Order: sequence, then structure tokens, then C-alpha cells
Amino acid sequence: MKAERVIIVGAGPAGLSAALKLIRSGIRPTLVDEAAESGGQIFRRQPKEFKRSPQVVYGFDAKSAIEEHRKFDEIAKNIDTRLGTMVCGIENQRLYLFNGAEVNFLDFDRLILATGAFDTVIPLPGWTLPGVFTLGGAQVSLKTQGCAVGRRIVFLGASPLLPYTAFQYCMAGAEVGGILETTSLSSKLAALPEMLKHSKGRKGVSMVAKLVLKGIPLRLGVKPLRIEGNKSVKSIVFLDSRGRENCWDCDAVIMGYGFKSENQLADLAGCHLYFEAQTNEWRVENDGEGRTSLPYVYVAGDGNGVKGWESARIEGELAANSLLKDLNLVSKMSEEIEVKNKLKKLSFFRKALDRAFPYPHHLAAEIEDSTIVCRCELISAGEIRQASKVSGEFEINRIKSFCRVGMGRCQGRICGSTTAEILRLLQGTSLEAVGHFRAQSPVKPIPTQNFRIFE
Amino acid sequence: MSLLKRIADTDRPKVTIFIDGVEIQALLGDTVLTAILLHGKRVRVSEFGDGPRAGFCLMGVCQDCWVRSHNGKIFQACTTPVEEGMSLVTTIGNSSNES
Amino acid sequence: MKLNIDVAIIGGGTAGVAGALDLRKQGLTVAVFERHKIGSQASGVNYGGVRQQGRNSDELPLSKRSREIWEQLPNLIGSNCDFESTGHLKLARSEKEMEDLEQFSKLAAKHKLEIELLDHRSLRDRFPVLGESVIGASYCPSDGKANPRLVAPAFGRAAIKAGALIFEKEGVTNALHSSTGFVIETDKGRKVYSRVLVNSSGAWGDTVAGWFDEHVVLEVKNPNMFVTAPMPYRLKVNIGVSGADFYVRQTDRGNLICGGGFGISDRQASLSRPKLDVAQETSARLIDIIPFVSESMVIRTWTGIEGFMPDSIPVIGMSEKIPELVHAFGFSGHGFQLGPVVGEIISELVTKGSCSLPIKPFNINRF
Repeated sequence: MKAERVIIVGAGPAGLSAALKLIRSGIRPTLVDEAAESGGQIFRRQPKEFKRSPQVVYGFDAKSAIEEHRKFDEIAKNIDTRLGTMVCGIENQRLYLFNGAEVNFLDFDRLILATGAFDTVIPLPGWTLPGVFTLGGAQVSLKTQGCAVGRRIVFLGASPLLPYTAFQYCMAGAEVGGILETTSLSSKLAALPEMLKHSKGRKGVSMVAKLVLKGIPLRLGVKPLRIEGNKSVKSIVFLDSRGRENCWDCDAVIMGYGFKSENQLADLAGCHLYFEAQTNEWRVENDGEGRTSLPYVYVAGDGNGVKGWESARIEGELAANSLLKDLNLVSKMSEEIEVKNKLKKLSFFRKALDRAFPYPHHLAAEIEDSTIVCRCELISAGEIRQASKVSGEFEINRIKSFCRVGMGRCQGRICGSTTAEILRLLQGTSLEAVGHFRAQSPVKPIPTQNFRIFE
Repeated sequence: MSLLKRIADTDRPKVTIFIDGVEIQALLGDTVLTAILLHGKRVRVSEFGDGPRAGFCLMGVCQDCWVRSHNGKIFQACTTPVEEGMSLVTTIGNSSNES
Repeated sequence: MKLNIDVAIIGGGTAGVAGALDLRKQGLTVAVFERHKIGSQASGVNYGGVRQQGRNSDELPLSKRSREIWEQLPNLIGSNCDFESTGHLKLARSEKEMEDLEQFSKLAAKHKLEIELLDHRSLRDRFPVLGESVIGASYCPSDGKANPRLVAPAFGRAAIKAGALIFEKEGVTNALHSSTGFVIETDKGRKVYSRVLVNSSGAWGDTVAGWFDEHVVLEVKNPNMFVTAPMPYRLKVNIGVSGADFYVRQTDRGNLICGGGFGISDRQASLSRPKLDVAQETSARLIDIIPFVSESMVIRTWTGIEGFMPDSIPVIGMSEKIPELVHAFGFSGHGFQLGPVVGEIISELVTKGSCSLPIKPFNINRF
């Protein structure tokens, strides 16, 4: 039997789960991840020079983190694992990989995309100042670099990771200036009963209680107005739930409004994407078992709809299972029905979280004209609106070609959701009709001096 | 003053690097971004006059922390570990001879 | 759905919408049918070089007239589409290439196109960003660059403002001609009746011509393009090489727009894809002639679907078989600068049946 060449992109919970499943069934996939260490985001491993215990780094998720790291160590013994390697392009069944020094290509028979997610942000005046970072970034800094992102940190946004990260920072001894959530108290209370049904929800609520008991100011129903500072963050100004203007001194603002799937590779490969109205996400069309519209591409984890690491683990195994089935290889999986039920149960918790931390669409859509939306190209909300008004168009790739939003290095990852909201509101259309930025290779930049291609 | 603050795991071998010509002690395992922001408040300057930038996502998504070394190499600061003798420039956009 | 119109235009590239604008000025009713969006293919994905230099001698009179229209764009369509006359430099990498450039300069002189030949020393004095391997160049000061993403849509809006109908996301599936005129069917089920039909359908021009039993060989190619992150502005002039195998220009925001080689496509599905390895080859060639390119960062590749004729010049002119059928397609990868004049030509052909510019060499039955 010819050895099937399988590549797994992503060494987070979904990717590791898939890799382990394949290895135990006799397949030797290649595992690739752009980060220097495995674990994805939530369980990102520290560099080997760091000595903190998992309990210190991951708190009550320590046990799960240790499991993920053991999985990787077992996997790394058996197969080719390429960390620090970014998949920059895909052409039919050839993957292009950038390892920081040069580009290599790797042909494959089957591909599992477990590419995870990244922060959703909402711009406001001053958000490009040094000292403003994302929620994911705050996690990376603390977990993998042992650094707090500032001396007095304010957390802003709408995400369960907001109080979670603030709590981690508190426990690590950093000064948390406060937490500003856009979600109203009434929304929180409405979501509370469902939250309390799940152990994770109860843990989250107790975390918030602990923060409040520590005297950390927590404000709900806020409208952030601007971040102030000359060369770096000095303070954040916001309206509280009663509409009063407040100013909090700080030297760092951590922003997080949820997460967005990294599905550029699936898009580039030619998989069909569809708009999931329930969660306002663009997702890779799949059959519920990881198979996409392309027979050789599978998806798993947060890279296809943000559902959390527990779902990601299960989906990784499910996708690998589908791949094995498609190769007519014997596969044993704990009852598929049981697994799918587990996924469903997890999705109920996810829905509760979404209700408790809703993405404030209006905040994004009503951004002032003068606020910068696209950091890479320095394009303002006003320029986006102008391009749409003059052309009469609202499809996001057309607007990109007219005013340059999303044409920069990050290919619209940071500005995409806000741009879509602006266009939706301006033209009275739907997010689905506005569309998403089309992926283009290289999906992340390659310095020209390193742009040499080898096998 | 710096942006980042070390609060853990400070017992690691030292690595000497240079930031805008100034000799700095980083620690083995630091990323270039960490090293630069433990020293100051700027990784680069926006090409379009928006002022200093210090990265944003810290995980290789925002592309806002590309930094140039003295000998013309460019790399993403948040995903590149420090190496002994690195010499970095933070006073420019992502290319040379720009103020 | 039925529509009665004087002129139906198939294809919403610059040629089609510029034609629509001019026809409205002549008082005719016009409808443009575009299967995607105005300027989706060649008109929008090209390099953006506004160039007379290096053209086939038959194209030079048209190109000259087009160059005049480029200056008038703000009045004509309300925007200059970032057009700037920054000059075009065509580099020679060998003595043979330099000879070719010298030949062209003689031809250019006949057409009163100003060209300056530069030897190695004066070239590197004037353009210090160039590397050692360039032995000479030909410089055309009146050439320049513009933003291709803006041009066709701007012409389209001007045409609509002038009263043209533009149907986007509506492709023409068939067209017939009889003594009473043309009957056109679209994929939205619309039936269009027109007196005149304009075939400005780019890389699909041969398909449309084929409906009327006019057969030409058209090859589809996909210019492989890439762009870098912004860099300090160092390259004002638009650069090409003799042989045209690759080209680079710097936008005033600092990005380097580079092209060379070809990607792949599926014309039926209107899908095209650039190739990373082709982009890499181009970048290596560029670094050789312009060393500072090695300081850049490649951020994106793209391509589109373009139609190439066997002799590398377009088909422009009346149909040989059907009266009132006008062809204007197959611009073979260098139609951007000609777009504006082609609009005028289409209009003239429709209203007069002839054209004041010499378009005989572009006749559809020349093969």
C-alpha cells in the first residue's frame, strides 16, 4: 500500500488530536504549525528555557495543558513535526511552507486544516498606540514570555476570555486596572441560568466574583470612546452604562471581542465557505464529520467556527476518523453518536457564552469616520463609507479594491469584521451579502530576501 | 520606561542584543518583540505617519511588528526568538533609510 | 424580462464601458452585460502601466490618441484614477536587447513619440536604484501608470450617469442575428433586442465571435502579479524589460507592483489562480536588476483571465460577416493604456461604420 501523504496544519488541540488518531492507525502525517511551540493558543507551550509549572501558567486548565503537551511529545517522536513553519500557499495538492529562512513545498494526498482562530477587535480612536494589545496577545505574553503587557492594565471588550485573562494576570501579580465590558447587565443576567448549568460556566462566574472581591473595578454596558496617550497608552475614556464619561488611567489596554476562524487556507484551497447566520461566522462547508467540499481537505477545530478547545479536540479526532474511513482503513472511534452528542452539548455552552458576551455589532458599524479601521494601510471608516457611497457597491472585495482596506500585510484579518459591519449598516444589507475578504497567497507575508523555493 | 513588564521566569541565560545601537540584556527564550518592549515602547514606525507601533496581537496575525535588523534582515518580532548579537532598528517603517 | 436597445455591449471591461459612455454622448441607448462586475478581469487585474513605448507599430496611432484621453479623465469620468505620467523605462540586459530598443526608438520617432536612449552610465546616473546587470535603456517620459482597479468602474459610473444601462452579474449566453437585428439572451432569462452588438468580451471574445461564425484563435493567459508591503518611495518610473518578461513599478504609497510569467485558469468557470513559484522567479529576476527589491516583503499574489491573439495585437473592427457587429477584444496583455481610445473607436464604428484611426491591421479576418 502506497504511504498516504497527509499533512496536518495546526498543532493545537484539534491538530494534535487528529495527528494522534492517524499515527495510531498507521499513518505518518506531517504536522506543521507556524508558532515556535505546540498547543495552539490556549495551551501554547512555553519556550524550553521557561521553568514555571503548568499550574502557574495554565491555572485550572493545567491538567488539560499537560495532556496536550504529552500528546505533542508522543507525536513528535513518531513523525515529522515542523514548528515555526507557516503554510503560506496551497495550489491543488501542493502546500508551500515558510520556515523563516526559505520556502519549501510539500505535496500531499490529504490535508487536515486545524488552523485555529484569532481575536476579533473593534477599533476606536487611539487603538494603534503602543500599549494596546489583543486578548490573545495578552495570553501569549503571560503564558509564553512571563511578561505582563503593562503595569496597569485595563481589559476591554466582550469575551469570556476577558475576565479569564484578567484573572490570570491578577494571579500572576500584575496590576489589573479594571475590566470594561460592552455587554449590558441585563444580557448577563439573562444568560446566567444557562451558564450555571455548565461547570465551566460556574468556574467563570466564580472567577468574576473573585475579581470583584479583590477590588478590581468591573463595568458593564460601557461604550468605549477613545484611548488616550501621546506615544503610548495613558488612559482610556468610556461612557458607563448610565452614559457618564469616565477616564481610567492605564498604560495598557487589552482588547477582545471574541474570535474569528483562520480559514484563509481552506478558502485558498478552493473549499466552499458559507455564512453561518447563528454565529455570524464564515465557515468552511463541511458534512459535520470534517469533510469539506474538496475530497482531499478536512477541517477541525476553531479554524472552522469558534467552539473552544474541547470541541476542537473532538473534531480533530472526528476529521482524522473521516480521513481513515475515506481511505478504507479500519478505524475505531468511541461511538460516533456519543461523540456527536458531546459536541452538541458543548455547543449549548458555547451558545450560552455567546449570549453572555455578545459581539456588539453596532459599536463596530457606527465607528466614527475619522477612526482608523485598517491598521496596515491606515484606512479610516470614513474612507470605507466614501468608497461604498461613490461606487454604490458593498461587496467587501470590491470595496477593498476601491479604497485599499484589507490590502495590507494582514490581509484584512484585523479590519475585516469591522469593515463588514460598516458596509452592512451603510447599505442596509446583510453580512452574508457583504462577504469576506478573499484569501490570496502568500496568506502571510514572505520577506523577498527569503523568497526562495526548495523541495 | 517600557511597555512590557517581566513578572515571571526571570532566571534564564542572558543574551546580548542591540536596539537602536544600545546594548541590551535579553533572556534566552524572549522573543524579539518581548526584548524590544521590555526596553522601550516602540517596535517600528507606521509607514503612513501614524506614529510609533508596538505590535498588537503578539501572535503573528496583525503583521504590525515586522522589524529590521542592522544588516538589512526583516522578521516578525513576535515570532522570532532573540539571538546573541542581534542588532535591531526601531526607528523606521519596514525598510531602511526612512525616518 | 425584455429589453429593446440601440446597442448591446457584451463585456464590462474598460473597452465596453468606455464605449457605452461615448455612445450615450452620441444619443444612442446602450446596455452593457457583464457576467461579473465591471472591470473584473484584464481591465482590473493588470499591472497598471500606461504605456506607448514597446507597442507594435500598428498600435502606436491608437495609443497616441489614448494618451490624450488619459489626460482628460477627470473631465470625462470624474477621476484621474491615480494616473501619473512618471515615465516608462525599458531596460536592456544584452546588446541584442539594446538594439531592439534602438529599433523601436526609430519607429517611435516616425510616430512623433519622444524616446530617449540611455547608455549604462547615464542610466545608472539617472536611476541609481538599478543594478549593474542593466546595460542600457529606453526612456519614454510621456508614459506612466494608473490604478487599474479604479478605471473601468469609473467609466462604468460615468456611463450610468450618462444614461447607459449596466447589468452586472449577468452573462450573455447566446446571441443571434436576423434582418430585424440582434436577439441576445442572458443567464438571468432576459431577452434583449438591439440594432447593434458590441463584442468587448475580452478573453471570451472568440466565443462570442464564434456565435456568428467568425472564428479566431484566442489563447487565455493569466498575468502572474504580486505586490509588496509599502517601502520608502524610490522608484518613480515604471520599469519594464526588453522582451517584456517582467515589470515593476512603485505606487506612491510605496508598494512595489510586480509581474512576470503566468498563472493558471479555467475560463469556463471564470476562475484563475496565480502561482507562487512563478512569483518567486519574478522576484529573483527583479532583485537582479533592482537590488533594493530584496528589502521588500511579498504580501499578496493575483491574476486574471486575459485573451491573447496569435499576433499579439487585438481584434478591433466591424465584423466581416454580420453588419452592425463590432469587435473589440483580445488585447493580449497590454490593453490597459488603450482602453479609453477603444471606447471612442467602438462608438465611431457603431455610428459611422468606419473609424478615423487606422484600425485595418486589427481586422478580425486577418488570420
